[in-house]
Amino acid sequence: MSDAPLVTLEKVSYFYPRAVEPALRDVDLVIPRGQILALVGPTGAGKTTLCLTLNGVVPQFHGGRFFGAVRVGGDDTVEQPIHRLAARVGMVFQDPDTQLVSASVENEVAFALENLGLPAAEIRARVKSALAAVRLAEFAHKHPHDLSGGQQQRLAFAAALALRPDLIVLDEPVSQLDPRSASELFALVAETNRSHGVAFVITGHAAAELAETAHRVVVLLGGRIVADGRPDEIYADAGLLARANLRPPEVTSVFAHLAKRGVCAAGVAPVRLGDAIRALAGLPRARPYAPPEPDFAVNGLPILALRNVEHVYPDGTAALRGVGLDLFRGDYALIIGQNGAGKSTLLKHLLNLLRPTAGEVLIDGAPLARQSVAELARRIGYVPQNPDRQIFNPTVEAEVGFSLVPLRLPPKESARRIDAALRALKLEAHRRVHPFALSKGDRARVVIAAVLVMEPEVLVFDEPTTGQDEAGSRAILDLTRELHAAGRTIVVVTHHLHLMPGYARRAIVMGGGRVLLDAPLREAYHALEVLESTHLAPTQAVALARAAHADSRALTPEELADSFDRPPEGLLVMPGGKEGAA
Amino acid sequence: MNVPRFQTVARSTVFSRLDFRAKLAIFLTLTVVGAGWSDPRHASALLAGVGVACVGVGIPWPYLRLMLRVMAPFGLLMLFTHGFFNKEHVARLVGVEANGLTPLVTLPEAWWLIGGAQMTVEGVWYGTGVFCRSLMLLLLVPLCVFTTHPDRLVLGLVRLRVPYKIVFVFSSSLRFFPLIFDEIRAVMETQRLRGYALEEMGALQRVRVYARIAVPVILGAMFKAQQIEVVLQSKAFSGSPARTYLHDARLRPSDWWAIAASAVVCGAGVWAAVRLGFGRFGAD
Amino acid sequence: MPEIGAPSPSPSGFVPTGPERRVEFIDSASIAGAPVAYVIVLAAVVAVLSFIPFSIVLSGGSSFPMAQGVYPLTGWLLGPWAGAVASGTGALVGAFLAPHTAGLVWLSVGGAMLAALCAGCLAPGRRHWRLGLLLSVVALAAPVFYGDHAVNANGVSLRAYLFAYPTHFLAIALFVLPTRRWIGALVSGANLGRGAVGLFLGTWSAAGVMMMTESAISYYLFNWPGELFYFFAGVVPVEHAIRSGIGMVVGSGVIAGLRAMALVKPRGAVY
Repeated sequence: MSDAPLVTLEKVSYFYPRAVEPALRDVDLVIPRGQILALVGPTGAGKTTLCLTLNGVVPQFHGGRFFGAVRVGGDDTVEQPIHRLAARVGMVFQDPDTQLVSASVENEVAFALENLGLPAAEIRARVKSALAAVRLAEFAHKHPHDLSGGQQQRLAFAAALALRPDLIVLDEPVSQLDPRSASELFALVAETNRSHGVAFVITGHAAAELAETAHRVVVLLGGRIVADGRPDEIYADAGLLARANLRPPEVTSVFAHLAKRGVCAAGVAPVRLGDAIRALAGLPRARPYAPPEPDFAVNGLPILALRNVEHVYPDGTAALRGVGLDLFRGDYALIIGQNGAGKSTLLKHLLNLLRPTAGEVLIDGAPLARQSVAELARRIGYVPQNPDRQIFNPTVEAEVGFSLVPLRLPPKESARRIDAALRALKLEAHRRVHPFALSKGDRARVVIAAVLVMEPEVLVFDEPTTGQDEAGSRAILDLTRELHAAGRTIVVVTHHLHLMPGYARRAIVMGGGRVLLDAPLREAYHALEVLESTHLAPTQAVALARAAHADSRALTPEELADSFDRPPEGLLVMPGGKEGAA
Repeated sequence: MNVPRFQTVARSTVFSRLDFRAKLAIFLTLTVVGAGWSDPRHASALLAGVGVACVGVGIPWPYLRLMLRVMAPFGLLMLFTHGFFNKEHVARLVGVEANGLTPLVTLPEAWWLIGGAQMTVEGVWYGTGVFCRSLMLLLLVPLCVFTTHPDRLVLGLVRLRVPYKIVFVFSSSLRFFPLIFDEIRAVMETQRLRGYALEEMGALQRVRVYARIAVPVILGAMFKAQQIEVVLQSKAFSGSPARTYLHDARLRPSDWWAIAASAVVCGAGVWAAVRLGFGRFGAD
Repeated sequence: MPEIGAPSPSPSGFVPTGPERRVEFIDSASIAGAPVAYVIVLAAVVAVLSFIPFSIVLSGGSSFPMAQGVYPLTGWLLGPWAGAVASGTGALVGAFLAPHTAGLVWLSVGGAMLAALCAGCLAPGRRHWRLGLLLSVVALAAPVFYGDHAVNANGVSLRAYLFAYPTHFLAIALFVLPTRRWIGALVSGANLGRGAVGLFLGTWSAAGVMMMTESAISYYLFNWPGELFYFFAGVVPVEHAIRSGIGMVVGSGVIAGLRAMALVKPRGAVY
């Protein structure tokens, strides 16, 4: 194998057509063969653009102005046709739906090989080995649409792998996956890197997984590389993380808090759960952390209640099996579970989009089925995962007001509600702008405003933080907290368990169409057996807390750090377990 | 509403094993010959043949039932309109005066406006032929297409020298159809969740609201299109026909026999229709 | 490596230090300048919209799916040729998946392509004038062929025939006269209100040419009785107004959205 670097970026700057500011600014980067590089940064930092320079799609397809040079295996990506570069650089994108272009699994893997004109026998051999590598061999003749999201991403990975490239680029590959599928994909990356020596560039916000897998982390901010180092170096730099709006792995946060409290030395912290658990050995013994559960007052009748609800789809799939659940006014409930656990079916019952096969759903004690979906929408607002499906109008103001048309309110009242919703979502400045001219985060806020304007009592958020960076996720969750404080009942469905402490009060764990547990958040997050039974991993903070003390019920890095006492004066513990001078 | 699928019939039959090009030859032959047969005896015999073939190759019964259900009002309309109104034309075809047609039903004179209207045997008969012909042409589509796997269909079209880009557009549309279908379903749900009760709206308002459904669907589709284009580029897609294929598509002897037989039947059918008036309404 | 001259600073004062490169698209996976993926997804959209029925069109022998209102839009979004491929493929896929909505498959597919071709020619200036001329001949031939067969061969009264299709005659007139360019200018102009008018008239014209041509061919096959022409006189204008309304509402929303999104624009697009 040659010692020459695999990828070289020299002073790369790039302006998209009609853009006045560049997406990339003087980027210099060298990637050796066989390296797993994590490319991190907030939304809009230029991560995807940088990825697309590696196979020439930027600038060849997008156009615009390009400065500097990108070389992959010696080929200049501005000069080589994209299809030639495709043989060297495999790509896996965020959205499983749009990156699978064939009508069968085997044809999907074969597609790029056919385009490259490989002999049929060679294609068949590669398809077979690539599908075996991602454990999809038995699905070879299925339609990609029939696979789960995780399987679809593995299929996209197999298609890239079949090219036998030097480099595979994964652009936010797990942002739409549940935690189990995400860890499977990252395990596949590590395995392929070990067995085939393939180099990887991975972008995303999944700090814990990236830290587990990557050899190196590069931080992009405003199109510029602002840091480049080992994961433990990057995630230990609190100032950098704050500046780049990045969230470190929770275990790293724990040790950062411990360092702040003088329990261990600052500067270097474990970034992997295994290392963190090993590092506990060098720390003073943790105290059990079990704060008293806050008392949530329950006011009268539940606003929404499910009584023994069953739902069987026409194909025979039993999606809900005897679900019983009460949601009270003022609740902030979190619904968690793997894909297929029954969360979406449950939500559809709350919105009257589906009727129970058996049992009933009640609103304020009356059957919910008596109300039409449209009538119910005035009481239960639903914020879907994809805001773009909700945008029908040419201005933000019209979009928000669109929900009021069926209500036939007096014009003054409509205007008041629109103003209030725009103000609440900080959208007043964008009033006359087309929603599609805004960022995805802002579009999500437009959609929330369009729901808020109906002044519903209950707000249901379906995966509100998917695809959002740290700042975007926080902004949306902070809004849910404000709405909750203002008296609204909030229901959130999410896979991002680590984001929810401090927001949700109660967690409903679903699995196999049943409610496996309905408990206060702390209890639910520490119900490890229940979580495991539905293939959910505990958050890193919880896993570390339990490793620190079996009776610990700490939820957040701060709480876990609080359960350690400061060691005697003059002694600081290094995260690796050694003692050092203060 | 379930996502309609490009159904691939699982049953393996002599017909389903034919190459798509052979099926296309049969399709074209039956279309050409069938389109010229207005006599209901010929048209219904052909319809029966195609119907039996559909059942034989395993086209799902619910699909056939849906087609029959949807076509039934059209059939009734044909019988009604040709029976009551199509007099001049039918009379000319059977070679009699308009008032020489055989009455089947005569509405009582006392009925306002339509009293005295007469439904003719020949008109109903002609309408039956039109309906049988239409239904037969419709059934040919599932017969030939649903028995072919999309990948084989693509290969067949490429071998027929249809430009690869066009074939690719066709096959990829099939691939992305479920995605867009899900999208439109979600958008319709969204509208209801924004308080729009379509069932309570007047016709005009409903059209306005309904039409808006397509806006986010098309915009979302265009946005996805750019992503898909990037994906295609990344998968070395250049639109060039100079590519290889995972599966082979050589015509086997059975395919050649089917093509040859189709050509003979097509030629004979056209000759008989033109020269002998075979299958023409009122020819005998 | 090919380079260009020195860059000027961006508004934030950034000056790239690397040499500027000449950007060329080396691959060419497009159909008449429209990226293939755009054609694919719009074909899928057309196929899906084939499932949304609006009413029954007797003259076509089929239901009237919402897709008919957006066939012309594909012509404006992708240009006439790529739009025709998208519309035609979409109609074909729609016909395979829901044959009961398509009537005669080849007629629906041909009609869809014709509508997109016509709309793509409803462009400002002299764009696609040769194609426009050819389509004008088709547009004028259809009513002549139809009328001749109905009146001279089948004995339908001329009055009944003329009475049935004034909307389509107007549509053809809008297409063959210089109004074609005027409509194109309205659609491509910055003013959304005038754009909506352009989209309404454009859909009226392009879909009218399509319907007239389809009706002519299906009449040749089915020879419906003369009495039905009076029925059409009541139904056809309403349906055509709905079709054009769909084109206007959908087109206005889509074009406004696309102008706000920074998507790569197909070469033949009229928006």
